[in-house]
Amino acid sequence: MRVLILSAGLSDLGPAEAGALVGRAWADLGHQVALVPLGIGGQGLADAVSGIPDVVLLQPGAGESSASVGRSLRVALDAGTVLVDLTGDCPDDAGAGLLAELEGTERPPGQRLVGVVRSDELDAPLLGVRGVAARRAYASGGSDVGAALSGDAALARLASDIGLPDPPPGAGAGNGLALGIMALGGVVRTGPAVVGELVAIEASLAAADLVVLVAPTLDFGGAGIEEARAAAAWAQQGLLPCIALATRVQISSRELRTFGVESAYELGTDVPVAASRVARTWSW
Amino acid sequence: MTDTVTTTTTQGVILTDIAAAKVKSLMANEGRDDLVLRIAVQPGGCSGLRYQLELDDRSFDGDVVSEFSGVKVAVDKMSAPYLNGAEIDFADTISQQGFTIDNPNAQNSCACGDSFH
Repeated sequence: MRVLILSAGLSDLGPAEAGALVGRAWADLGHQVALVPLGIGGQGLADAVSGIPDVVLLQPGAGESSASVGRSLRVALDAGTVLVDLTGDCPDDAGAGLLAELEGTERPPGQRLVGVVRSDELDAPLLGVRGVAARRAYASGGSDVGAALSGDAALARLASDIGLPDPPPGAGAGNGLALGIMALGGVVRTGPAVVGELVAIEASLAAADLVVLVAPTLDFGGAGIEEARAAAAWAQQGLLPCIALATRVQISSRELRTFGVESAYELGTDVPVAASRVARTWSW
Repeated sequence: MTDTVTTTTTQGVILTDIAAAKVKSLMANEGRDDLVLRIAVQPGGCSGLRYQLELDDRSFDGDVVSEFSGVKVAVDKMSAPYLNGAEIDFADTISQQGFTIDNPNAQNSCACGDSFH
């Protein structure tokens, strides 16, 4: 039997370490185990991609200008893939500083540039009522129509100036920094999607008999749900059962089954013992 | 309740006579006759979008302005596509008080009546 472990970590272990610990439970029963670390964004994404060769991850912070992202990109010109984490705070200039910083710099044609976004920002519009300026102007109960309109007009001018007069869906992700990434020929993907592409997960899925998600928490408030959705979607793609093991599980089996996870098991503090019990159940 | 509409149009918003009278009285309370009723759509609320109504003395590029019984109604260009054909009424009954918006573009509304998508 071949088991594909997708690990976002456990409460006190990183993705790789937690995945290896859980995977040992199946390996001890004589099964083959493959491990893919998963990350949505932030430290989890950094942990997940740290072992993948030829990948550079940039994690911008809040601020007025994205020029520092441009400087980091220039330093990373020889990397095969550059990921820009857009899931956290991002600068306010929709990539204008990034593009100015890279003006005249020849990016290698084969280099892949990916903005990593939360799944709910995959299609985030740059402009309009649901766009970056409107979201910013109306944040925290604000109601300044004028600020929304002038901000939207400035973003429309920038998009036009950089050759994207009709910004594609997703350009509004990461406070609009995705626009700059797209202007450089980049794309936006979720963390699990980009990790899946980087490790060619299709090949692992084709060879696997069971998908096991490892996550710190699965709860009805949303923790671990994005990871669970990604794991379940891959399992469905390979027509495989998907189970989840987490340090804490606070979501009903019925809810988990609505997005394709067969069963979830709480590991508690003694991970090897709990994981062995699950491995004996899900073993053939 | 009378729902007579002074101007019938499928473009822009529609303000009923009752709502226009209410807006006039609100402007009179403020001692102003140079204000417009601005209706805008914002991101937010439990259904993703919500309405904002205010008396405004500003005008913005691209505003769609219509006049109903002497009351000007302005819709900014970002909100206009979401409000084509929306009817603003004013209700003053035991079960409902205040301005109401019947928007044919809304696929769903929240129970609070303030949010739609």
